[in-house]
Order: sequence, then structure tokens, then C-alpha cells
Amino acid sequence: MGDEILSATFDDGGALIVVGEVDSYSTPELSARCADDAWNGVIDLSGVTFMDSSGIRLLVEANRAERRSLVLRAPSEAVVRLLELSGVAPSFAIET
Amino acid sequence: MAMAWLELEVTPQPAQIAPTRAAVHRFLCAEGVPGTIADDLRLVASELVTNAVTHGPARPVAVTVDIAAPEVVLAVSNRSPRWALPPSPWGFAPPTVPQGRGLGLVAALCDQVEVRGDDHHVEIVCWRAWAEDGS
Repeated sequence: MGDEILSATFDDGGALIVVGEVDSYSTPELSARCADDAWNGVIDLSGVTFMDSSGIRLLVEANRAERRSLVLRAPSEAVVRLLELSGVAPSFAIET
Repeated sequence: MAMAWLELEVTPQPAQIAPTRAAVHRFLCAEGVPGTIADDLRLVASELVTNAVTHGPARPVAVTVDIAAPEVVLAVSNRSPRWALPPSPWGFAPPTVPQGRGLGLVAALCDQVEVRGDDHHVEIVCWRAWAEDGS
């Protein structure tokens, strides 16, 4: 069964648009997109309905990658709560 | 007074984490637990089931949810030795370290967390208070 809980696609400007649920099962697909040369470093999280610590791990790793400066665009309520709870929110550039 | 019980046996595969947390969330909402608390416990369930599936043996993971106002008790157990878990209380990794937040989130989102078990079995039991008037 291919349970698709996440979609991650690039818009025309090269931003990564993430829709669905980010967990340890779906983060490998996201990691692959983050390594793609087409990505401009902006990750749109407005359509993320669920994220757990696997998602924080991915964002922290992407933020540390030197060739990009990561921008979190329009994080959903679920993402904002998670970032704030775990104390990592101040280390990200967040574009509302 | 609301009283309800849910018991799930989860096949230890990463693809089962999403349907398991969805089942927990659906059950809590159907029983009248306020949405914010149901959302928090969905996250707790995801973290605990992920740990059990990722680090535990290839044996089913048991998830139970016991709603008895004024509290919800969520428990996740598997056949790992008790000592495989870091000692609580659990905190958060520094902001630049990728890993080490799952159990910190569990502790932050629950009123009380207890680890039970022995050399062959571990169970994490979480309590979260709620009121039927939505507070």
C-alpha cells in the first residue's frame, strides 16, 4: 500500500511546497527534495497538517547546510506550535 | 462522566505511524476531548510509536488510550528492555542539534509521564488533564 501522507513539489520560483504530514516515514522524500539543485532554500509549510520531531530534525539539518539560507514560509499553526515548544523557533528565518 | 477505552496493536513499520496517530486523534475527538488536547496527544502518540517502531524489536507495539474525565491516559509499550530508554526527566537538544527532541516534547505536552518495565518490556504512560466543558 502506498500511503501518501505528504507531497513536496517546487513552485516556479524554486520554493519547496510541502503539503500533508511530516513524520519519520515521510521525511526521506523531503530530504531528497532539499538536496535538489532546483530548490531556492524557501520551504512553504502552510499546508502542513502535522509535524513531529522528525520534521524539526530535517529543518535543523537543512538550516545547517552551508550553501543555502533556509526560509520557512507561512508555517501552519501545527508547525509554529512544534517549533515554539521545542525552542528552535528563534534559529529560523520565518516569513509569514 | 466520559469514560472510553481504545486499544491498538501496531505492526512495527514506519508506514503504520500515521494511521495509528490518526486513530488516536479520531477517538479522542469522537469522545469529546477538546481539539487542542487531542492535537497534543496525537503528537505524543506519534513520538512514542515512532520510537518503538524505530528502536524496538520487530514485535507489535501496543497503544492504549483511556479517557476518564478529568484525564486521558495514553500508554505505548513494546518488547524492548526498560534500560534502552534514556532516564527521565527528558529535555530538549540545543537548537542547532538535529536530534533529541521526541521525548522532550512528550514530557512538555503531558502533565505526568512514567516509564515502566523490566528487561523484556517497556511501557511509557502519559497523563493529560482535561475538562468536559472544553477547558
